Amino acid sequence: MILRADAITKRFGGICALDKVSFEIEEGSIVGLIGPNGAGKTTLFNCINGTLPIDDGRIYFCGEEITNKRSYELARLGMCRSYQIVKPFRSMTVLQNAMVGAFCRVKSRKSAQEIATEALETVGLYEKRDEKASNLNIGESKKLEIAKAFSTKPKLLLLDEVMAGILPSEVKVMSKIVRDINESGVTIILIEHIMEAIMSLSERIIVLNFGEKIAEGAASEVVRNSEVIKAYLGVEEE
Amino acid sequence: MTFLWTGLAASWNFYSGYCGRLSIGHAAFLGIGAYATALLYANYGISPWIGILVGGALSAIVALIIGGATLRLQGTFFVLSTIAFAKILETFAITAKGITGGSLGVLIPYTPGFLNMTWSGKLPYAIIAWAYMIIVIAACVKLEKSKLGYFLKAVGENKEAAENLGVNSSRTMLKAFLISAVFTSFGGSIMAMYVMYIEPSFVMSMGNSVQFILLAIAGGLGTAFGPLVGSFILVPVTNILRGSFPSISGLHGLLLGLILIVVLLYRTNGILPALREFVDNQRRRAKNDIKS
Repeated sequence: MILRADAITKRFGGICALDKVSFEIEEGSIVGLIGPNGAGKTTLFNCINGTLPIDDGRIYFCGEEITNKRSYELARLGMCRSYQIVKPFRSMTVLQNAMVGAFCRVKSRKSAQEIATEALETVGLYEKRDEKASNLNIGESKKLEIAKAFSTKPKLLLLDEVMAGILPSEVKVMSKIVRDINESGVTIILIEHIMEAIMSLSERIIVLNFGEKIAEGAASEVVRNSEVIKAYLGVEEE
Repeated sequence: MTFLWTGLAASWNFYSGYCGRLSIGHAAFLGIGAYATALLYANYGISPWIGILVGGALSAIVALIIGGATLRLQGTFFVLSTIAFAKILETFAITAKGITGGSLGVLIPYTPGFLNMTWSGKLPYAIIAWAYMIIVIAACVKLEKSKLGYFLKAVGENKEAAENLGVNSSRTMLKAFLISAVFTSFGGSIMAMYVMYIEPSFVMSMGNSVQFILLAIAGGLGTAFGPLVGSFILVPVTNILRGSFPSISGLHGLLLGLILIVVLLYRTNGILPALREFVDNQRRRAKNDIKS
């Protein structure tokens, strides 16, 4: 088990964004995290990776408690995320962007360059390595997000809607990238709205709604779960 | 003097240029360097060479305190806090007459000699200033290729995203701020020994900070050679303007300001990046010509 969340609670003023969310992530798996808008998916990522402090609960990573550790410490321990709203370092080149991540593991520029180059090859951005990050389109920016995170040589990667807003034809490419990274030994938690992609990729799915975990299980089971259908489609009045 | 200004501009650029947090109060470090050197030499006869190091060490300590205290401040608030810090030190230098001689300043005794870092001619000073400039620019070149440089740029662009990639933003910023402060302090020491007289309104004034900041901004923020280009264009231009309109005092400042505004309006990144872009475009055009 690589990650264990034990009753994570996060409040924003009076709103309970996450209410006692618990789950476990098996090492080497791809887990999908779904839920309607505002369900708390990104907040959950923010809490796991130390961007936001949690109000209650505990988080364990590789058996070590990491509750409220800073995100740079977690990156060194081997957990990294991508952002739904991409955050490239605009004035730097694509390669330099990835190198920032690589410096998390190595000191010299040469080895950082090697790691970064590998990461760019994995996501298919190698051709664009000398381009300024600000010149990338949205699909490429999402790939760069993955490459930056992958350059830190993570054990666990949190991917936040890497397929949102890209061309349908690119979704397949992105799915393959996610699978390739997983096959290289990285556990992945995936937030996604594109059901087709998430169904085919994830072994297990966790469903959030209004900050609560309402379902968890194999993809085929979850879609038949009545709570999930209720959350997505509402219920008919009797 | 141009070498010295370039060195100062590059020192400032080392932190503010690469990470985009503008420290307007850098004259404070210049002042610390200048005063440490001048006071130790004038009052205790300690060689300025040692004074430079003492000033550097003092600046490093102050930079750690100020840098640490201002880490959480962003944007304008950081800029304002650095101004306040410089003002506090300037006021201190004026009121603490017992230590600094107040606004009368410190007169450095003229006894030429290598140990005293005092010479009758200008050449040795020029060599020192030149060496200083080279060292600081070399440090910037090295920074651009180092882990610290990458981290600094990343933190400057997006702190959260940088931390996510394992960058300890506080440590990165503090380290760079400290190095930048020490370099600035060295420049202050050299300036004191060259001018032989220092007073608060000269070495610690905001005008002083702004002057070397402008050089860096005009030349190109966050580029190793930007301050060099900026200084070697702007300092002579200032002198020419001052010489051309001696009758109306302040006119050269006005014209200089206008030139700066034009440069910054036309090329927000500064002169050096603009030049690079121009050269790149020319090359690309030449390549295309060959192809067709």
